[in-house]
Amino acid sequence: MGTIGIIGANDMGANIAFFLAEQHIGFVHIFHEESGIATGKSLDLLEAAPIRKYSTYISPTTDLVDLIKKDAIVLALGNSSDTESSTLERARKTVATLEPYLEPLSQSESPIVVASEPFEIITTYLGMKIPKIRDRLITMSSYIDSVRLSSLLSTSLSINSSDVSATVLGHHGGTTIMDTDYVSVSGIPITSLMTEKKFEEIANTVKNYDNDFLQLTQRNYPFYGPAACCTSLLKSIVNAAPQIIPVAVPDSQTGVAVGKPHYVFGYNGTLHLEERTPTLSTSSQELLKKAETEIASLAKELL
Amino acid sequence: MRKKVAIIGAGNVGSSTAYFVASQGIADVVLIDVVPGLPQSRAQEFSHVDRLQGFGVTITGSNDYEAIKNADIVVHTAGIARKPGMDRMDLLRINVDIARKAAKAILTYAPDSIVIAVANPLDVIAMVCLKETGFPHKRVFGMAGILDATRFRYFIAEATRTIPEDVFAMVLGGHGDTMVPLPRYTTISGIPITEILDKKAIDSMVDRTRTGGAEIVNHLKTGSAYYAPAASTAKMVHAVLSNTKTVSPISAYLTGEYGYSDLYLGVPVLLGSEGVEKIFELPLNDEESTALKKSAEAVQQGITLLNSL
Repeated sequence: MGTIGIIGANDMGANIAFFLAEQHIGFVHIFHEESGIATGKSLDLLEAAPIRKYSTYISPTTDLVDLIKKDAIVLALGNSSDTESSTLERARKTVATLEPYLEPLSQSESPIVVASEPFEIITTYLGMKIPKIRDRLITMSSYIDSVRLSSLLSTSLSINSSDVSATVLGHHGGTTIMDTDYVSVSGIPITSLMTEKKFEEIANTVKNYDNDFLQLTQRNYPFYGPAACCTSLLKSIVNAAPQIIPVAVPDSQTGVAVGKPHYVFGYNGTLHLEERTPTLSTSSQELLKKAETEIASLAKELL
Repeated sequence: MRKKVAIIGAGNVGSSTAYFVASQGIADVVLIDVVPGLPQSRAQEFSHVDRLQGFGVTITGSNDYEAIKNADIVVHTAGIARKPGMDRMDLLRINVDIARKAAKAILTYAPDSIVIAVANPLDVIAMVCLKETGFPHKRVFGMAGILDATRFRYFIAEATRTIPEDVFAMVLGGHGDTMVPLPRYTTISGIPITEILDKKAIDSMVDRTRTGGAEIVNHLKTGSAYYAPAASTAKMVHAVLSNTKTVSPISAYLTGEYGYSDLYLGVPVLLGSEGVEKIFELPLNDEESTALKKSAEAVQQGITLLNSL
């Protein structure tokens, strides 16, 4: 079993630790700047261990030098309860909280999973700010959209969600590409099961999901779903469990992280990625370009 | 037809219980809360988690008690935490009022259900649920001893560097400072811990178990534990739905067992599809009996307060 270091123990970080323990994925170390939070949440989780049969441990740590040597590092900074800020303001706040960790992160040689919102913008920013870690940055942004699309389609069709396969590309919370060519149910094209109009309706729900969710709760952005996606990604990275999933990694030429399907595989602190973007229609290519432009312009505002 | 579990209260304990129950894949889950949007949003998110983890059940949220209709089990987690300036009576009055409303809804919409009380003060809330629903007492019980025991088990596993699931522990009494952890009935793979750990170490873990909830509150400062309480609750749900015949300490209504009547107190029970199918009476030594008496008196004080409302 691998080791995972999580920076940030608010809703996102704590629930990533929780899902990692539930799925026996790795040994977890949690760092949180404010004293007591990482200790309290780790203890609460561990007290469930006799019942949930956890075969891992979850330990609070104050040792960042040790934490950055784990097989994977998760940046779970930010606060899901910050509902007042615009995307750029949220990004600026996250960047401010990231500041003390930039130097330690620059010394790390491990894969770094960005679970701090806005995901692609922070990933792009970090790659530009610290070029030496750029090839090890990854975020689960479009994976979240794919999971939401699958979930909503399964509800609409009254079928098991695990039978739905969907790939969403682009900018989570911005321009996304949901092409029916890459959505199927047990291999059956979605267009055989649903009208284009109905699919569009569901796709729009996915695109607006975070804001609609906020309207519904009036208190926080989603965190359980994103934490579950992050955990699934970590399983591939630390447990040699390869998956092809839409994730965002900084492009080797432009440095912009935009959601595209990748073959993701890792072990012992290494990360192997291969882009597997399928053939896209002209309109989808244009949307992908638009998504890249959005992310790039917001990330540059942070530098 | 798949079973149905209704969880009243979509705060951290209620939501985490929903996750744990859904992950068992044996019952649809409905979350109820008075806060608009809260249970619905939590249910939506767990539906997304389901896509990744494959629960294969439905998870819904509602602000309307009618959504609990025909539930097989109703878990009552709704209540407020004690706030600065609030005395025990204020807290009791508010949480009892919430429980009474919930219990009336349970009687109306889920008259054949089994009720698990989780909100605090636990032993008193269980009594409210019993009195308001009028259900047989084997169908109304509380989650307490199982949580206290899992904490005790973890502390022992940590100290002995053993796998937590290999440790079994027994904790009797009310869910509070007066609970009675029983080292004589606590084992690691069948070996009593009194054979493995010295008295000083055991006493230290017993004390830590008694203050386990407060320890986490002290760390978090503005919150309290929810993962372990929810895991404990979900284990009880599983025991009932799957008729596992689990032997575990829970808060059960006593009718003379251990010398107490008309009182909810943490005791070991056989938990199955009918609810509390049997209460085990463990032989207690003088020290243990005295501690249990003190705990029963503390619970009785709560009941007296309840009756004065």
